[in-house]
Amino acid sequence: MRIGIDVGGTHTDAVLMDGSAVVAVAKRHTTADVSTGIRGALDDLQRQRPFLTADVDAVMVGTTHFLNALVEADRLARTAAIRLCLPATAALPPFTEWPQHLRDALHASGHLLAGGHEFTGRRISRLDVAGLRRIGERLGQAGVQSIAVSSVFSPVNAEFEEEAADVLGQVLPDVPVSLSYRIGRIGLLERENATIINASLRLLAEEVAAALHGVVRACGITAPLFLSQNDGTVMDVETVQEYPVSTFASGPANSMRGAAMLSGVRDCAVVDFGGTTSDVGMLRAGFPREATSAVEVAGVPTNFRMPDVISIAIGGGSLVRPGPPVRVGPGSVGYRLSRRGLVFGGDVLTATDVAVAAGRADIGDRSLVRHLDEQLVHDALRDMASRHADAVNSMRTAPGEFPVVGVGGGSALLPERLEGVGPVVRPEHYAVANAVGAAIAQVSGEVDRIFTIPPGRRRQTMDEARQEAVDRAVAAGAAPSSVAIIDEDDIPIPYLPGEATRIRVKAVGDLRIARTRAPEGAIP
Amino acid sequence: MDPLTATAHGQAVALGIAGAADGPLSEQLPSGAEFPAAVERLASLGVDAQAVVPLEVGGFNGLAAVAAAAQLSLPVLDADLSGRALPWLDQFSPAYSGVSMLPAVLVDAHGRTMVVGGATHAAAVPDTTAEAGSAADGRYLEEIVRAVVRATGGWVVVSFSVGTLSEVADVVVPHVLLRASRWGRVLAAAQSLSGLQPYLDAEGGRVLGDGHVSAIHRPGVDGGRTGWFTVSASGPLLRVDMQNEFLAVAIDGSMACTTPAVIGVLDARTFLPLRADQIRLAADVVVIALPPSLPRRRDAYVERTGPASFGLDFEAVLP
Amino acid sequence: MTTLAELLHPPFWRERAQVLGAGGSAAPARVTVSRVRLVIAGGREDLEGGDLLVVFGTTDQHWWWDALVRRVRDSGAAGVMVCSAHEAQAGGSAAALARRLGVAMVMLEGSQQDLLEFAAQARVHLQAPRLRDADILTALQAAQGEQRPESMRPVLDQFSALIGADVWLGVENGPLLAHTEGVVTVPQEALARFDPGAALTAKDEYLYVRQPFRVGKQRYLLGARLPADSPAEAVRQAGRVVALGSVYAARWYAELQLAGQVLGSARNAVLDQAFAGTAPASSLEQRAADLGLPLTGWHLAFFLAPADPVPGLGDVLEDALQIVRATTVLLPRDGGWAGWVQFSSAPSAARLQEVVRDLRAVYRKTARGIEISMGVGRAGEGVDHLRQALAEARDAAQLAATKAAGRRFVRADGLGATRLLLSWTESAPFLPRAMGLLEPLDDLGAEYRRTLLAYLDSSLSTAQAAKVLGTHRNTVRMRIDRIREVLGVDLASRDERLALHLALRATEHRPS
Repeated sequence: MRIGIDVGGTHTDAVLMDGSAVVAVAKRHTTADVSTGIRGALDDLQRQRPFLTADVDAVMVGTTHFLNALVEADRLARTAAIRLCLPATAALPPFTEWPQHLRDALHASGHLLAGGHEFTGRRISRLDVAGLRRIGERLGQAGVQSIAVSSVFSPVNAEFEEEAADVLGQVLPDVPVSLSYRIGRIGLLERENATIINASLRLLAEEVAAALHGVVRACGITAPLFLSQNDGTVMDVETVQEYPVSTFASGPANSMRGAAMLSGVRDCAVVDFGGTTSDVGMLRAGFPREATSAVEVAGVPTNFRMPDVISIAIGGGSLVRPGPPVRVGPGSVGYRLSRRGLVFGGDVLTATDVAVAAGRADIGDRSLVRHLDEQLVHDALRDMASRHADAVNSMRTAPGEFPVVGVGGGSALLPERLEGVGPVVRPEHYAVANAVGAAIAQVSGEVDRIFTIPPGRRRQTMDEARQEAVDRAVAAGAAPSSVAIIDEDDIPIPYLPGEATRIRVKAVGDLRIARTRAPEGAIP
Repeated sequence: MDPLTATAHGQAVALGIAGAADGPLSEQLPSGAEFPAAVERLASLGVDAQAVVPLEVGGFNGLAAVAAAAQLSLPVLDADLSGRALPWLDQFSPAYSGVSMLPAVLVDAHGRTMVVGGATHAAAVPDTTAEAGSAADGRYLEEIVRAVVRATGGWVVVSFSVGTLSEVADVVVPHVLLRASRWGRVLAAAQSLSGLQPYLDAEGGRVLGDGHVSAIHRPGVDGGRTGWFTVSASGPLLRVDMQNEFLAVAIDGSMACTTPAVIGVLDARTFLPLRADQIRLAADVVVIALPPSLPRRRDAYVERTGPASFGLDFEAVLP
Repeated sequence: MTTLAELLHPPFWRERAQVLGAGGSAAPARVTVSRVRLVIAGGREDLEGGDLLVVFGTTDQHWWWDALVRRVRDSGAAGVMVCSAHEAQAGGSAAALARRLGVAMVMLEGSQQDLLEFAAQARVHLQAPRLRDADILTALQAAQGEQRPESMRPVLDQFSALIGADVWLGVENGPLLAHTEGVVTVPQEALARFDPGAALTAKDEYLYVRQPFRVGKQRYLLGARLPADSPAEAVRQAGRVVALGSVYAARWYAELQLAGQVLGSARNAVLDQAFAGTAPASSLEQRAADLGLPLTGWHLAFFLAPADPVPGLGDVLEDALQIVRATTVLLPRDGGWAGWVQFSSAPSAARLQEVVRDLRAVYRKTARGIEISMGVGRAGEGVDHLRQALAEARDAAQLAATKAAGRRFVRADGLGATRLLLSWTESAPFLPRAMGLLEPLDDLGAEYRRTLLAYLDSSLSTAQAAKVLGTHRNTVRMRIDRIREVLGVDLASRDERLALHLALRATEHRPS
């Protein structure tokens, strides 16, 4: 059995899954310390469907912690970026295009040094080791807590980044170093940005990992712990401490994959109606449609491949302004809904209160919203429905009706059908689709870099790249027999001799379950 | 600056980057000193740069020249030398307008400056196959640039004079910069295909089709220089031939539109244009065509930038 | 009315043919075929209703396939047939378009040879009603029998019996492949390309009636030899026989080439027997000729060795060999592709040079896409020499493989000739003359001799000579200029070069 946990801004959901069947479901409010909420949800699962902790094969957690930290510019490490590049790239130093408040939060400092490679793997110039030491010492004095290192064309040749990590390790043994070639793909600025984000989250990642580890172990579960990644696959918790950035936006992928599994619908729009926002994405053949353009995260351009999702500021905790006209959002009480909402005895009119008043949901004390004006309730619901219909319509790429799968706690607020789109399907366990998506996740391995292909060796080179992706998937914890290539592309680089080709291969496999059963089955 | 009414003294200098925009240029970023260095070197060869004109409005180079002009405090001509994006320098307008691209100054990713030709003899490189006087210079420069790109970091800044400002109207493709920025605004604001239609109508463009990418054959794979992809929905089957740029669109096997018309492949949701290497299987796209921007020597332009110039054996079809 | 379904009815085709876009009007039973046309990919022939287009080859004009499907639909042509070897080209957007437009597109599992075979059979099928009117059809069918005859000879005998004259079969501008009892040779002029229809009175006083036909790239002639004073009716009769016979012969050869491997292994077996000398020469030669493997006459052997196995290389090479302006033979052998250029008589030096140039062009064309090396042996006559020359060519190809990419072409001719001549230079009368010839060099010093030798050894490459000598190429060039002056020789002249080369070799190990 597997346990999937989704720690959202307002709710912490957990599911217990036996194969593809959901056998127990729990929903708790997210607590400031996170652990308490998870602990409560796990206890609820145990109560609903007692299980031997030793029967749990894996625990998968999706969390928005890292994304929230970035968006709120909170709990981020003092981060320096070192780019090995000179004489190239000086026009656009590190942190170019970063929002000022994030730079401030990071106490950002960017440094350029000689180094880097050309696309052929040839060195641009030698690594300036002495310069690197000097910078390291200065950063140490400035109290820098985390360092991001990027080198031109490091996905082709990573020697300088590795060497820089060694040098910095000698000068600053306690400061974690994030290397760009392990984090991003071709595209220096975007890769560097992702690396800096990663570096800034390293300290928080250690805390979160320790907390998650602690709470799961405290429940007597010894199964391995994984975190969901942006693409819907998972990474083990030890690795996450080094690469938190790869898990920081797992929400959309999890909810969409969960929606596909729960509803059985493979071509549809998915609306994930949460506490503060509602995310709309599209599923085609069971997989989230990916965004074609670069993805900005908290105002920082990156080149992550993520599901194409648009968010609207409507959630269960959204404030309802009586107008006229009646508007829902954009303000929200967030996770304080359970204290501030009318149905919970609070003093703020929220979307949830409207839903309860309209009889669409049964939460809290219904009598507390009986006084609400019928017209107000009607108008608020209509506002939410029409704005969702607009959002879904803007995602459409073909005419005609298609189903909309509503998931997330707030999806009760959606009508039976969205005008001009199609019927709304709310599958069983809709409220915990995120956690389901986390629980069914696989592991992946990916290769994306420029290869120089000798004449007549294209096939061989592709095979090598495929093997590397498979090896990476296996190294990440996939059962070798289950690994399959799910996506590949080879794009010869224009204008350069035919040999230079960018090859991208992604392999995905089922999690290999190492049966490390605890000696005694503890039933609390 | 409008090239058709430009009367200022001095010369217009073409600027751009040759090489691979997606790979090397996105990694080994320019230092920012390349364009000024190129213009400075040109000055030492007697070129009095008083305006900048982009090599090509398409892709990276359209904006690069504008940025360079700002850096140099020079005006930029609302024009380019290609009307679109083109892969080879000998397709650019000087090559059929009797204007030599030599001497040219190249600056590579290491900041090294190279001067090609033009030192002592004003005569063009002899080439019996060339019809216009400077086509051979274009070919010569193209070959050198290609070699330099291979030998250095994968891209190189190319710059040369396109002649005096008062005569520049005979050389350039006019009014492409503002046209491109107008379309940029239209596409950025577009919410639906029907919202795009009035703008297409106004210029004589049209939607060739939409649907999802159902098959793709990348250029360069298996040695073929030209690749293609198909777009299918319930309606006609579209086939788009491409190299670095989109070259031709056939609708149900009938050639509907070819270069030098502007063929745009847009993301069907955002209406943002996609590059040839961004086309992915199952992506939802809209294919549109716009009439080309034309220079004064329009016949030569269509010949130099038509399907045959890309090795495709059919006549040009314009919308 | 013949339908596509009928043409695909024989189990051999039915099992191998996949009809894309089948359904509605494209269902094979509904597609009427009135003509089978062979089309080379990239061609622009006008299409007519009922044409079934059998497409050979590939084209870099990828769009052509889509345009073809469209033209088929617009013209009401029956459909398109391609072989699976070209699926990468034809199976992409064109197949999708065929489905959409309801155009029958037949993907035949196999190679171009299979297409050819199909086309030949389909043509016979389509012509069958008219053939039945002809009084020679019976004879044709009798010759055909239940099974395909092993050799064309009995078929020619049947034709011969029908018209009471000798019948022969040959390669256009090439060797005679088969003939009936009375013919011993056919004059070159009768084997030359010509406009069909006209009878030819050759130098040997016979009247030749001929019909050309093609199988793949190979052009053949089927002819009858009549007495010069034959009546007009007999000439007409002979004309009809060779015309219809050629359809049969084309089919026979197409079948022969049915699968490249079958043919290749048959050729190899015959060649092995010929080389081993185990089979009686006459029957062997006939069998070899039937397999398109001329063993008699003059030849220039070559060998192509790919660095790695390349699927479909045979087709690529066959295609590239079209460059050679002579009859060529190609077969898989010894882990590579062996072959030779066939000459009906001893080729002149100029002709040989021309052919070697062509072979070099073949190499260059092939090496553009494939890592391959090529060796060329010496020209010679007869089976025994052929064996030796093939081995030589293979050795040369191995030698070539050690060179830089793009330069892996070695002609064994130089090696062989040098070997031969070196033995002669050992002989007593040669030495004094050689020393006399080189005397002027003595004043310049020993390095000039070494330089000249290295320069000649490396076929006049200053770069290579410089490498051998460990000196700069400019030094080599300067020395060679000086040598030219001192000796007063023209190094551009082959003969003078040879004399010098031999003299240097002869005196190499002797004190000067």
